[in-house]
Amino acid sequence: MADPPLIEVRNVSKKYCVGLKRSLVYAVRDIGNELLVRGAAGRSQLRKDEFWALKDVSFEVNRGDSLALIGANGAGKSSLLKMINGLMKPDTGSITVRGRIAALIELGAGFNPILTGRENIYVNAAVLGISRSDIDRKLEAIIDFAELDRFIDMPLKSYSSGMRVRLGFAVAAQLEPDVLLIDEVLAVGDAAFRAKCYRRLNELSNNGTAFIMVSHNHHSLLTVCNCAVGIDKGEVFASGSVRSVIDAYQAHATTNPDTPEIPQRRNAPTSSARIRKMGFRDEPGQWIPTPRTGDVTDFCVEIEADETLEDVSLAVVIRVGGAHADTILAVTASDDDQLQRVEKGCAEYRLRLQPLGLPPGSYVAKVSISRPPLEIYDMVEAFQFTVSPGPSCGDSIYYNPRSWSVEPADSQQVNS
Amino acid sequence: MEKSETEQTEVVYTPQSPLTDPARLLSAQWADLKRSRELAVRLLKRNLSARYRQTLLGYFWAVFPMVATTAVWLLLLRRNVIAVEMPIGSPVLFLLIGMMLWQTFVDAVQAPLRVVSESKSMLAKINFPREALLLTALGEVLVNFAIRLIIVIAAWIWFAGDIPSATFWFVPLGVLSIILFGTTIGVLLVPLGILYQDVMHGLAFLFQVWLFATPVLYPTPTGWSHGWIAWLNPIGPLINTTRDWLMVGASDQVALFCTFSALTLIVVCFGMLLYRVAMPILLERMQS
Repeated sequence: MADPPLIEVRNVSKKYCVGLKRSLVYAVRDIGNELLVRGAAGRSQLRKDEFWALKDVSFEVNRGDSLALIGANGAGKSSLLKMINGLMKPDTGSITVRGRIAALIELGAGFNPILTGRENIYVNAAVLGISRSDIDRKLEAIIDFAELDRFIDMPLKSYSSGMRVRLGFAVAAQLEPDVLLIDEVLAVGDAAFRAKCYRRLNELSNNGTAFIMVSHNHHSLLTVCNCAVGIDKGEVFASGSVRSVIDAYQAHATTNPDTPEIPQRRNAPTSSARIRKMGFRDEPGQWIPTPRTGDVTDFCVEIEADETLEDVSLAVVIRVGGAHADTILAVTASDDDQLQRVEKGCAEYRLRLQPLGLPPGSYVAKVSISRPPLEIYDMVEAFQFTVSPGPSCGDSIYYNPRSWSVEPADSQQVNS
Repeated sequence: MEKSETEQTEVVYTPQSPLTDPARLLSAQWADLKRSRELAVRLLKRNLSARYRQTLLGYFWAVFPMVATTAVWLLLLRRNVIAVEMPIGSPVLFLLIGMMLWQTFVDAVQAPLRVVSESKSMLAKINFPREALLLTALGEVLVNFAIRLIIVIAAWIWFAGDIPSATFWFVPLGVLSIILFGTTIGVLLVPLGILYQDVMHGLAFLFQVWLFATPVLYPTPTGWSHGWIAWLNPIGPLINTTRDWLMVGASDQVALFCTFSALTLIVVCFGMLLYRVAMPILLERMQS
């Protein structure tokens, strides 16, 4: 008979309270109920100001599985991880965990800034449940992995944040659990170190460790995971292969698009030019709510100028949605020697993308208009938009226009 | 492979109260208490070295309140600002020992809540045996006590205190009882104190008043050791019995001491259960 699953999540729900004051009162009452061993039935009902952060979630993780949890911020992914980790109790349903479980939810737990890196290794390891003798044995390996040999006896407060993360991961990498929960932690650190982290995860995976991973970086989920569960507003909306869940998530996201126009600005800048709205136009020039991968698209920024301005540059930096995400496109008119003249009144500054190379997904754009080098007229920090699927991109991180053919071989080429 | 040798443990998380099976809960807690010793020692070392590495006077801060209060009180007595009939023997030792025991009690009440509060971010993200924090708190109390003890021993030699009486060997028992009593109150306060800041603020104020309502800086008034007032303030008999054992010999409050110690032993078990049961609910409110 096959082994039972390492993790079984059955009809799990979790509720939260909106107001702080009330949530504290509920906490006192809940503790009372627990002590008196009553009120378990009432847990499945919402009280005033409560909402379901997770509702009826079920899935299984078997040995060798790497499960991706996919969903927008606040969908309930982290709450789910915390319940699997035994930090919080579910309000309905049950979670069965077989085997040792470890969580990379926060790196460097228990670090104290005044102590040296070496001392902190021992503290962090003890918190993670690694015994002292294990650490004594692996100390050199940890310091090597973190690439910190010169700094290891300096107080932690002199470390950069990247160095702390490296040290934290190096300690956590010594764990050899049956199930590893990973929540976004690998998004920090430089590319080389991240590659090293993924190598270590790969090793663990080959040794039979199962993963549950939360990340907004769909690319890394595609490389690491072999199955996925999609969660939206606390409910499972898709499960299956990572690709299919990501596609469903994106289709889900595009059905209720954010309006492409920027909302009323809270504090409009007082400079001589302001961004009034922005969005996308298709090739014929129509406003479109969600641009499509592979289409010729204009990114349009409407500017209101109090006077005629010379040498105006537009800068667009597009990131994948989510914390610590990578920049996927960064262009400025000034870098392209395409400074424009903006007449007094309203004008539309256009960036033509020929074609749009972003794969389907949700993005955040930072847009600014300026007169290089120093004068910034206006800036929009986070313009959110989604791109709908066009021609297939597969697992690619960008869309490359392409065609395929078979041509007669060049007769002069020598076959060897 | 190494993995298959390790025992396959199975844990089930459900909405049910863990107290539906109290025996199982107690045994799990006992196992965690043993399991958390190494972590507790590590955290204690971390806290001690971190605390004293960033201060100039270091361990002096553990004894300062006790020495200062004793000095001021002595001054007030000498100038006849306050009229308190002190017992026979050295008033310095009487006050210093009383303050040492009182400070240890205060420390024991405050330590659990302080240590748990300081570890909030760790608690919210990592599943480690939570009992480790209580052991760490206990460790800090013991270390602080040891530092104060050095001062008291020095004073004892300086003021040529008598050779300790035959009851001297009961003194450690008294100290343990005081620490356990304080820690029990501290553990019981953790759930409410984590939820509401008022508890921490209230405690600081409470101790100022409480000190003067307790026979620490003055001998127990006649009649107190029999009446309801002893039951109102159990720490009085605990401190005075211990002090008597050290300085006088027999104590007339031994019966109360034993009663309160026994009660503490029962209540501390309840405190541990409460701590365990409340923790998941508290965690939901301490998310980063």
